[in-house]
Amino acid sequence: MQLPKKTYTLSQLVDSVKKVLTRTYGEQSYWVSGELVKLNIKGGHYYLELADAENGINTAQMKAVIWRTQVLALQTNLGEEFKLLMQPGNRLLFKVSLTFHEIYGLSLTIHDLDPAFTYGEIELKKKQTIERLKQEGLYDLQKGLRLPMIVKRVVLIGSPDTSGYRDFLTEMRQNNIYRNFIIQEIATTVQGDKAVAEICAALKEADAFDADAIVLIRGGGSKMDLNVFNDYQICSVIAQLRLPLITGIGHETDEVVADLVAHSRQITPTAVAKFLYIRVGTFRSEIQQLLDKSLQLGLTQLSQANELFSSTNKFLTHYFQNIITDYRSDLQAKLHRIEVGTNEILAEQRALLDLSLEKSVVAAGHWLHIVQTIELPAILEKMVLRSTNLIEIQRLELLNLQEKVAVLNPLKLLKVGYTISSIANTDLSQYKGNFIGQELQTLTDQFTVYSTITKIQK
Amino acid sequence: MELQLTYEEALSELQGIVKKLENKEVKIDELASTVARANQLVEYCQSKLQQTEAEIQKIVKKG
Repeated sequence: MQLPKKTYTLSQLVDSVKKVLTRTYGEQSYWVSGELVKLNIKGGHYYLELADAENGINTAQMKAVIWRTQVLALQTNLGEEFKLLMQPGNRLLFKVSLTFHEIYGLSLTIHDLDPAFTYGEIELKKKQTIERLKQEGLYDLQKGLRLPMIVKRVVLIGSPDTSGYRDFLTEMRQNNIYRNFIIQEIATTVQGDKAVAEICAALKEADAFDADAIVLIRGGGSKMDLNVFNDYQICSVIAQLRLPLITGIGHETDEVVADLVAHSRQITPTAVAKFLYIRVGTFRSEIQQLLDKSLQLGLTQLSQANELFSSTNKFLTHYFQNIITDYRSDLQAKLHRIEVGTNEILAEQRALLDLSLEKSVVAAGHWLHIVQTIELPAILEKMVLRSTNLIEIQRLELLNLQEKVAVLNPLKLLKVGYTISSIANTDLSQYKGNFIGQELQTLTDQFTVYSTITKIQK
Repeated sequence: MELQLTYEEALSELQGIVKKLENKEVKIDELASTVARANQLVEYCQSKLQQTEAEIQKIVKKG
């Protein structure tokens, strides 16, 4: 005969398990760490899925809940950080108690949350990311890029609705040093689930522009806020950019990995803008300084040359004055000698002249005497004689002419009975034309006879 | 009538008249006036000669 089996109802078993669990774990609470895998919020209660993993394989998994009152308490304590901490993927340290429900089974009730653990986790992860980037040879790539002295064309990546973004643009456009920047803006979210993918895409897009540098900004935030910039994927893309990247991820204490792999890092977006325009200003002032220096150098050389010229000029002036003085005195000496010589010659000549003059005067006196006493009266006499002769000759000629006129005077001939005949006012002896029929004019002492020629006899 | 001629001009004109008379070139109408002009020229020349002679004498006496 077989003994009947000892059987229990499910309720009995579950009740027993609950009793054992309650006895062992009771109302005691524990600090337990795990990765938040999933989060559902219903009626203010947070329903979580926690897990532990090793080499990508889950080694433990359990449900957990934060009741609404506790959520409110945590939100009050941690503020905005609470929401960021409660992101799937974060490793969190919770104060939990074990709860066994007859129907829903084993779960954890969360009473508290220690953010310091997560920060530590973040730091750890950061170190791992840095290590990985170094191992892959990406960590220092950006440092090898050359950032132009004047960064004028800038690709800006950030969220346009944030104050940091606006601060950057304002500072770039309203500073007193340089405002001629060309800014290509690429809008992206910087937090939330999509942040990593969007930032990576934005970085790749930015790298395709013909620009001098890329600026990645985020207007500050908590440790959790900025954690996205520790992401391996983003940092890997940054490291492999063609263009140098300047970060302005607003934070004051700890740097993010993106800062470390970037070419340059500034504390805030405003600081990036300042960095850029001061760089231009510095370059400009360096150029100005060089210009001033060369100008100064030029002026110094000029003044040296001027001094040299002036001293040479003085020396030459002095030197030439001496020469001129020498020449002048030499000239004066020569002039004096010439004067003396000339005077001597002149005196000699004068004496000679005086002598000649004396002789001439004596000779002239003699000659004058001869002329006065002998020659002149003779000439005068001759002259008078000649004149008288001339007049006499003239008188004779005149007489001759007078006689001729008297003899030739036809009027006298007319008086003694002669006549004068003429044709057309021409003397008959002179007339050459035809005689017959011509009127012959015959002049007598008393009258004139007019007759016509009828016959000529030779 | 006062003549404004030099002695040479007057003499040359007189010689011209004589030549014309010898060649019978004087027109009948101008005969009388030509002879009158010849007489005038003769007188003028004579007076000129007389005057010159007197002046020469005067100069010589002064010397």
